[in-house]
Amino acid sequence: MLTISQIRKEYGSHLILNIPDLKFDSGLFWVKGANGSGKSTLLKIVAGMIPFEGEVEIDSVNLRKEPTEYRRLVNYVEAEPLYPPFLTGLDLISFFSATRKAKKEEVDKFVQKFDIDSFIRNPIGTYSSGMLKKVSLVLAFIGKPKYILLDEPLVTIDKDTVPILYSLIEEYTIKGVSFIFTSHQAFDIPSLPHKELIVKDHQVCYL
Amino acid sequence: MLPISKVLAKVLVTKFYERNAGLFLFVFFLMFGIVESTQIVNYHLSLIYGTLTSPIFLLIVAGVWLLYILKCVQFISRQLTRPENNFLFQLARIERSKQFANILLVMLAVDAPVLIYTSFIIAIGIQKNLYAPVVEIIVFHLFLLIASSSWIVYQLNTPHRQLKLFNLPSLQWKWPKPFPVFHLGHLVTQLPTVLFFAKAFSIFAIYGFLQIPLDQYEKRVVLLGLLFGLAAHSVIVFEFRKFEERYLLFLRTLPMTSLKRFLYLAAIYLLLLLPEMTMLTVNHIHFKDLIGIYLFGAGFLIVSHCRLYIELNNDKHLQWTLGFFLVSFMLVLFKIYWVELIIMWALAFYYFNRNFYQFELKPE
Repeated sequence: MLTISQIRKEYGSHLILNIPDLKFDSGLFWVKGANGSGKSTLLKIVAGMIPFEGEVEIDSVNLRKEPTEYRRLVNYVEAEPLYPPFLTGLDLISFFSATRKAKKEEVDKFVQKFDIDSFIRNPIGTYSSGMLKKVSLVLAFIGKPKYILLDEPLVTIDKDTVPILYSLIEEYTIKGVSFIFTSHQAFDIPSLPHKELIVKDHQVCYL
Repeated sequence: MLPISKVLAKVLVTKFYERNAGLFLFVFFLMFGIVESTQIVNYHLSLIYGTLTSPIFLLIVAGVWLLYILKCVQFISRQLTRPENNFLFQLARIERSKQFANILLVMLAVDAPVLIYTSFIIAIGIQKNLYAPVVEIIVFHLFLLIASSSWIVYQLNTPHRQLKLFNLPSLQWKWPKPFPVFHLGHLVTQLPTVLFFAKAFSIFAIYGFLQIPLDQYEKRVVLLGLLFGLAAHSVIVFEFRKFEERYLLFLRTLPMTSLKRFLYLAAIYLLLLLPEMTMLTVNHIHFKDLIGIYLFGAGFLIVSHCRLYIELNNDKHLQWTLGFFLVSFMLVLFKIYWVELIIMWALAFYYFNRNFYQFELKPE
């Protein structure tokens, strides 16, 4: 169970989110909302990427009190990921695997599935936005997370990659991993029901 | 000719030096950094005498000059094929002699470091009446410059032919890069000029202080020289923090302890100061002092870095660096640098642990 309580996030004097209480049990959660409503900010807070007021916990592991253990439980992919252009995709994958203690065979499986083997030894600066997104999706599955946060996962990926992503989400959901995602495009996995939430007026609530 | 040479200087020459600043830094370090400071003049005189008196040595040096010119030609050929530089093929519309003159100027400019050193060799050769090798060296350089310029002019006039004279092997790191290489890679690939000037200033400052005549061994002299070099690194420290905020935000989501993150940061600065430490090693600084000086230098930079987790503002950073430099200067003079060393590392970890996750760039 992912629990969010008394969250308040401001940029300067501009209030973005004010969430007294929010819970995510297990399954698929689609966070909806207009542009600039705070969807990405919500995911970044849960990922431990940006400072905020309030508390976030996964199964009693508190982000502030046990920052390393908490981060082991959450993987996050940005809508438009930005990585150092001189690094290769393989550099990033190796680094993520080392910090998340992932096995090589497991990582190789994702590399094959997303068909990125042909370019991961090239510098990221030479990638198209779609290639970069595929690498970042591989990074999302590395390790043993309980929650995977995907910000606009369908943006820029080609139509052949969409079913691959869906099948991985299905596989991981069966293993007990939950997904929280945002998407302005139709996100439909027939075999998996999802719950929908909306971010509106700085608040987040279930639809 | 002036407008054309101005454009060529910007597009080809400046780019060449920017891209190869790392190489120049390395060569500069080999030539001046690994020799005991009092022996630098003798070291270069020996190299020059060797070149002038030994045909085999001259052959080896000529081989290095040839490789360098090939590297220059390869770079310029690649620049010509880049889409943004396609307009340079307009040069083919002017007379060949003018094309040649313009390209020769470019070659002279990119070959300048070699030509400057060669002029010392020629001057000493003439002074010592070693005319035969001097003539050989002049003829060889003329040949290299004329041949390389002619080749580039030929390429400019035959863009439809996919010519490939050679392909120099490029040195590439084939294994996954460890974390400290992220920062250093950014420095080498994106800010080579900053790196070059910081290191050149740092090495000259230490070299200058080592020239102060002393009756006995005194490590404070080294520390004072190093302090000037460290102050010159303040630009690099700020650029590293900007790099983290732009490209490495994903690191915050990874399960790493604060201590591990801090040790990674320490490794970055210890690696960055390796050239200075190598220079001090060859200058007979006592080993135990060397470790202290190394930790002092890295501590100075890491505390500056960690302070930027409180506020990322360049003006304030420069003010802070100046103040910190002056305080450190006094502490070194009064021999209480070891206290500062401990305080710097402790303060750096305190700043890091307290602010790493809390820092966020303010919206503009």
